[in-house]
Amino acid sequence: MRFLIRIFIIFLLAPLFFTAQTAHAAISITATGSWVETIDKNDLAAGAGSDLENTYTSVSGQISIDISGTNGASDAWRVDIRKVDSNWNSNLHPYVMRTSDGTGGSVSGGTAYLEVTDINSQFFSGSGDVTGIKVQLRMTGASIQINPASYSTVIYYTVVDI
Amino acid sequence: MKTLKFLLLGALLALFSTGPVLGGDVSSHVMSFDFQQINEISVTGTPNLNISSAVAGQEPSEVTDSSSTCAITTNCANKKITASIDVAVPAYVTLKVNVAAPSGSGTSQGDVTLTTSASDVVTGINNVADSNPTITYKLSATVQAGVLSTDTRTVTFTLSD
Repeated sequence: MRFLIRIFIIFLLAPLFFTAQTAHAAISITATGSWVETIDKNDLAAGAGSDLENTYTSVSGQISIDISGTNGASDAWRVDIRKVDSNWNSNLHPYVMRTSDGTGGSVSGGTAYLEVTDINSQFFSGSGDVTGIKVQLRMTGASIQINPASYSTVIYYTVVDI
Repeated sequence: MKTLKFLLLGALLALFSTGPVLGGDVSSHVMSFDFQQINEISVTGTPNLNISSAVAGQEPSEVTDSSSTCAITTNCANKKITASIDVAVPAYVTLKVNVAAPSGSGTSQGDVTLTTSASDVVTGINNVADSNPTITYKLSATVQAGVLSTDTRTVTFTLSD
């Protein structure tokens, strides 16, 4: 009976000591860049009497993403994306789209605009180390119903070894 | 010896428990939009008012021109439109303006006599874009004004707090 109890305890404790040292833990992601946009009277669709343009799009390579620390070209991963608002307006909807493959391993998916929500969603996937994956950002929902203020959200990219 | 067996068993468990990592590395960037105050107003039209008739026994007939419109955009709250003229009208002559409130926002003050001081013509305007509120001018005079030659006035509309 004591033997069975010890076995049971080992089963419970083993993951605590060993799973943090898995071979997948070294993969890392770096997102470089930011997007700050000023919206003023020059963004009215047709001057006085008209509303603001609804949609704003960044330059093609606004954000650059590097994936490193993989176990080689066949080490597959995926990148999930979500946002955490600091002072955001619920009428505003941020989107991301991958606009280049970067250099190094392989990358697939993410070449259509994906809305960024508060919940992680898969953005794109790939394998091996890759540098310079370019991302374009878009925001929709602007209107004169949004009061003057600075609205900000943080976009989080999570690389998951798969 | 028993302890050694348990440690070996633990090591074996660890080997088989190396599945996908529970989390992943995270990086982030900021996305920020600075919505500045927008308060734009413009007017169109060149109204022409000419008093030229009267009903016998009464003052000259008031004339009206509703050919002008204003366009307004604001993303702010509690704004108002004021109006003024550059030079006062002659004695015994009255020039009034009536600006319709933008759709869904604000209150027109009705017929407002224009002077060289700014007068409220629409108040309580909140977050609106409307390109079509009508501006109506009314010109009236009493017989004491006499016969006056054609003259012009510039009306200034201001969107303000």
